[in-house]
Amino acid sequence: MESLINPTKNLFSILNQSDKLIDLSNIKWLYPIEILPLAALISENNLRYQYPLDTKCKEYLKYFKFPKGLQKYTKNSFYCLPIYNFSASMKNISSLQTKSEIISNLIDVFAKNIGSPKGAINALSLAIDEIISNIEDHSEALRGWIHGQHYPNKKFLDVCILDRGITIKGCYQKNGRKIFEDKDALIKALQGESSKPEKIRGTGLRTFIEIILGAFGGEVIIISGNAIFYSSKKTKPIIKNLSIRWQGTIIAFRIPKMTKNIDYTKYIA
Amino acid sequence: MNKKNIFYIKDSKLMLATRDIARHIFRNALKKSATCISFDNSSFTSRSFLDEMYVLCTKNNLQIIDMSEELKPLYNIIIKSHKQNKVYAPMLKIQKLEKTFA
Repeated sequence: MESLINPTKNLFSILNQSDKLIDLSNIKWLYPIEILPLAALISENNLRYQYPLDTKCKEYLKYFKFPKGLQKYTKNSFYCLPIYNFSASMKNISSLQTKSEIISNLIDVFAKNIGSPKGAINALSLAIDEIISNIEDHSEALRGWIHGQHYPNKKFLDVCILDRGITIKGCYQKNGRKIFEDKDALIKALQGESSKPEKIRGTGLRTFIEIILGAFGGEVIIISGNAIFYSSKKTKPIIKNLSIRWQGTIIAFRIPKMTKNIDYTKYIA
Repeated sequence: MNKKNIFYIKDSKLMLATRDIARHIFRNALKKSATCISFDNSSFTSRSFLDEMYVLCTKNNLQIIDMSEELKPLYNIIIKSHKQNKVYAPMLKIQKLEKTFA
């Protein structure tokens, strides 16, 4: 399976070259880890952008509703989850229904393409929910963003979920913690230190990572502020700095086609 | 127990995911004066949803019933975690590197 590292580096290369214009004219291929942050940045910061000159890539982006995304659930193909930007703050029934339908659609994409051996749906739904709940409960963002694609020839599924909120460091600081570096905040979150006063919270990111790596043999990238976490089945978890700060948190994962049953209970405690 | 006081979660037609959805379903159960929340026919849920539902039910003296065999291990960890006031989650060892990623 190809790694998420190169597309993530490419994302930062595009961001590095962009100020008020996101220039995608020379781009021929983009993965969700690249598409979704660019879509959110363009839409939420009202940036100008240039579509790729490559017609196929341009049509793909349009098909995924780049850059604004969908705000209401629309029945779509079983190969992808188009770009959605959902309310992270509204608690009304319509917002909750949209969120419920998006998660359900993503699980359908997974089951139809990656496979649904026993326990896999439960494990995936646990993993995705941890991230969406973090956006709702901690990010203070107005919108959350999600996009997923299955690559039949490459035999993997890519999903990216993000927000433009206060970052993990911002969340700790808001709760009175003296944490000054994004890297330290990300480590604390990954080691289970809850930003909330309740002692028994803070299981989310660890459970998510353990499920994606352990249960699915996948790969995970987490970006918050100017810190990045990376781990795969083959690579031990590492944290590094980024040259550009992402205002908010980005979570991306890649999982290969599944055939084995999963006992999700092995990855939650 | 009086059957009409059972609130069937499946009637909400929502994914059993996220704390917000749990709060919404719980409010509906309270509006209907439920004394029990049934997970009948629910084969998957998330930790956040179940954790929130457990906390709300415990605080308001509602009972959670009909938990499927598949969900019981998750539910049991949540109960154990609250009763012992202890986090049950996988441990991660992370290497902090000084090199810039990109």
